Amino acid sequence: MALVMRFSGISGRGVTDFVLQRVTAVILTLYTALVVGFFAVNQVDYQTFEAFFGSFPMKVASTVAILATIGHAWVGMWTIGTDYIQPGHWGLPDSADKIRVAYQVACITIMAAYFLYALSAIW
Amino acid sequence: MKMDRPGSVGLWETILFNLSLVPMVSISHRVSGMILFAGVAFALYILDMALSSSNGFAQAEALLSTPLPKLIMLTLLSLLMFHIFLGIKHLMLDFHIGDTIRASRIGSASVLVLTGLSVGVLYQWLW
Repeated sequence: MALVMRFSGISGRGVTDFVLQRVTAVILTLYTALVVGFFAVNQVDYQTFEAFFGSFPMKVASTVAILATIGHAWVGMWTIGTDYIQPGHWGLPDSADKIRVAYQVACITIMAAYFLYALSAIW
Repeated sequence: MKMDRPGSVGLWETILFNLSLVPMVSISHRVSGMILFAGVAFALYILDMALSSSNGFAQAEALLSTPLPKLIMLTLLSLLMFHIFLGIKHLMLDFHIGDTIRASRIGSASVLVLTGLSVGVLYQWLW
């Protein structure tokens, strides 16, 4: 299992990652349409902006959206990391494995920061 | 068993294909995704500022009307539109809609056209 986990993304199963990437993509597309739609139909000032993003359903939607962003970005960034940062690829040395782990840790750190920042901004 | 796959392709053909529209658009899905991931920080910064108070909202508005932040915002929005349209194309491929070479070319070109149009509309609406 440890070996499998090393080569797999967030869930340890390729199929689950594949589905996660698609589901979060649809969620984020809908959220984008919602926000763009809000700006399109309203003459936005602080009152309308606060009433919209400050409403409970929208706070929940924004929280779901930041979680979807993190899930979606993790599958994407993980895929990019495993595709390009590996020993032998573009003449990279064996230590490329360590570079990739550092890259993944950096991604996770940024995501954790995004999540906390988003929660403090939304709620 | 019938092998229904292409044989080996020469280096020159490979290079030419990789520089053509479909793969260029495809690799830019990854590039735009990475830039958007970094751009989340900027979006959160603006959202946090705009939601903090009416002063903060005015501050965010003022900031977004200065050239560089405006350019960053417009670039991120354009990349988001591009990423979404390309994602829709990708989801269609998952269901084997438009997965021939001809259809892929039309699809990739459509993604670029739709991105251009939506960016134009967004620019008119938001500023």
